[in-house]
Amino acid sequence: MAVHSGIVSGRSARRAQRLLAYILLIGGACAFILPFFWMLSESLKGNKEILQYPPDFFPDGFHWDNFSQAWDSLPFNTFLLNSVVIAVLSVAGTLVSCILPAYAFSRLRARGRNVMFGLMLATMMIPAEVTIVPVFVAFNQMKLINTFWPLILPSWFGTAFFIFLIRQFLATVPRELDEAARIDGCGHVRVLFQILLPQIKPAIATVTVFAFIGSWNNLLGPLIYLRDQSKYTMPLGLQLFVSSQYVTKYNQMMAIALLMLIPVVVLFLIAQRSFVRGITLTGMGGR
Amino acid sequence: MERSNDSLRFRGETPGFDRRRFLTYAAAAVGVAGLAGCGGSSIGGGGSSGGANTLGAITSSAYPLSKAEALNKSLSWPTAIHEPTKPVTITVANTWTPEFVVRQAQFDKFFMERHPNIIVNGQNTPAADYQTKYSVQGAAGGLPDVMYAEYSFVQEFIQAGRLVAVDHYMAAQPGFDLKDFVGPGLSFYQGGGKTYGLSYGVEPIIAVYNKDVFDKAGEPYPEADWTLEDMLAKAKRLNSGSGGDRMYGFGSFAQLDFPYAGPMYLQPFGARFLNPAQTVCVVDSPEAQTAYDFWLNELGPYVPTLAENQSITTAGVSAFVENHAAMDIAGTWLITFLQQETSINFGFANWPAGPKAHVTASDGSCYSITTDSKQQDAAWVYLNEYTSTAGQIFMSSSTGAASPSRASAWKTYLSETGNIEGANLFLTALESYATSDGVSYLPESVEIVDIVTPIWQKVWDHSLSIPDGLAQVQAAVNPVAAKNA
Repeated sequence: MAVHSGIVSGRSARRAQRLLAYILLIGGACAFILPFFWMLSESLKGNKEILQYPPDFFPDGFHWDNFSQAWDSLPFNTFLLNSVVIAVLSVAGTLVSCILPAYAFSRLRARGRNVMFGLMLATMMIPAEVTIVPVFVAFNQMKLINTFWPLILPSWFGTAFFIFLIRQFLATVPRELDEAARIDGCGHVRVLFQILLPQIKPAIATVTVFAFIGSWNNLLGPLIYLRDQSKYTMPLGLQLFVSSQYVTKYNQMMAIALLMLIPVVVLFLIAQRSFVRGITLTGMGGR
Repeated sequence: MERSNDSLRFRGETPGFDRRRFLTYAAAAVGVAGLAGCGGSSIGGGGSSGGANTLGAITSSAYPLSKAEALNKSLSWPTAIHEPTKPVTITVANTWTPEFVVRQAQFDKFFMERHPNIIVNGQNTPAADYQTKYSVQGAAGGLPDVMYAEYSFVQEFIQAGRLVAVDHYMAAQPGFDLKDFVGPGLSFYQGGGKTYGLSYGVEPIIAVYNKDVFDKAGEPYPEADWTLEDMLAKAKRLNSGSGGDRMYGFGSFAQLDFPYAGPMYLQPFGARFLNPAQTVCVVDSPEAQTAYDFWLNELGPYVPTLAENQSITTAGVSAFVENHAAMDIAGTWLITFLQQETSINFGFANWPAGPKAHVTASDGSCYSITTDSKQQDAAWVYLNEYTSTAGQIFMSSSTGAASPSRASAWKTYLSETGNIEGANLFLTALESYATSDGVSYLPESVEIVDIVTPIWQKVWDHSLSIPDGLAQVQAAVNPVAAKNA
């Protein structure tokens, strides 16, 4: 009887703990989801509802036409295509230009390697505002202003943070794998692409997601370098809704912002598997 | 090797169609459906009909091309001087809303028809980022031929030598009437005795009131010659309620960290924020203390507190547009906003006179030719037409989108905005008591506002007294204001 009551009280305690955990997690999830819910709510409101106070979370009637009106008010199809082109090429460039030096820093022994690595990291200290004018001058002299090249080319020349990230991940992969592959006759290229890259998929996924988000959300670059509206990207298109002089359609702005989120969310959901798989495999392997 | 369910479990994967895969496909499906459902214009086009231009569509339901054509033909356009004899291309930078850029495209189309040798490439930039973009391009030598500039940052470009003085063009232009520019005229756009921009729009500050609130309280509407004391009395009587039902007597707190603070809040009491050259802060004075004693202590109980202001305002709009204030400050930008976005039954009144002076602020915007332009003569042809009476009627007055800077364009503006009762008071202000004197617009004005804000917020929430606040502001601003010399 005493054992039975102990078991029952143990179960009750676990249930209470689980209930508390769920309450905290649901509360936290609600807090994080609230801004997105507000965006959805605002995007479905009529013009006169969006500024009412006290605010109402539920619109009176669902104005789905806000989405089509916002999308049609500017050539957002063009902006979307431009953003996709720039983002895809930027991500490809980032991966190519970051994986190779990360492998070199991680696996190759060369004189001055650590100094070069330190110098590369030091470039992270330079704020973008310092380099924006000289970089603009350089692209202006190359006659590349008002093209996509200033937005794509820099990503093909490496990003210090991503090189660091991949290099650190490569450092966790045992060198025995490289040596085994070398014994079997692999050179550097096959070791990197056939042995090491499959091991660092989480890092690749992380870099891909961050690089995509950085390019997708980039406003300053397109703002500075692009002049023709036909070349504008999604963030610039969204900014055109914000006006300090006249009427701002906040509901339509929210509608476009929501649509802009979709590719990012989809990419994250796709890449999330790699994170989990990497952690799970690492645990099972006892490494 | 076939992946059995056991091997999948070993790898940490859930066999079959798991929750994560479902979410991924669902999000992708929603996204595709959403994007497809929004489609209307084809890739690469904005539904434009007629003439190629870089700004997109040249007709819309708000600005039909046929109506624009008729208006264009009815207007008298100025004679062009220095008309190019062979085709040249000029770039023009604007900052319009997505709807209004259609009007800009229409202007450019008709301009190019009048001047076949001038090809116009328009650039439209979001207003919030306009100064950033062109400051960078100015530093790098890539400015457009003609650019829009606001009073608040035009001096940065003038003092950096990026704008062309247009005095010789004005002198050579037949029929150019400088007196037609109302209010501050061209004062914001001048430096060293030269003029660097032609005024495109002016915004005097007057008062707006909610007629329904006044009617409900049986309060007479403001008179034309009402004073600040009258405004205070009305604010007291109209202030009511609490929480979500609060109705403030006046919608705005009298900020000192505000470029218009001098003419609006200080000069009616005989005080000043900066000296006329804007090189010395002179706010620590008995007159300024009297002024802010009025705005903070006497009117203060009837305006939002700092915390209330932060909680009920959204992206710069005020308690008035949210229907929680009986009166507020107003610029012409408010007309379209109130008409289209609110149900408020509003009217306008003169900015009330102070005990020492009847004065209010006016700001403005201009268009200028940049020193990077290789086609300055063609740029003048465009600039002159754009800011002419005909140009301002076409762009501003006939659309109600902005208040024109030329007196000759105001009649059309007033009729197009529906002849709203009291809207003519904006023109009255421009012609009599609105001034640019005291408006902080030289290059250090941004930093001055940044310095004043944290000090004045303490005064606003009563954690710092007015005299101490004014003294701290003067001490902090003076070193920065000196750089305006």
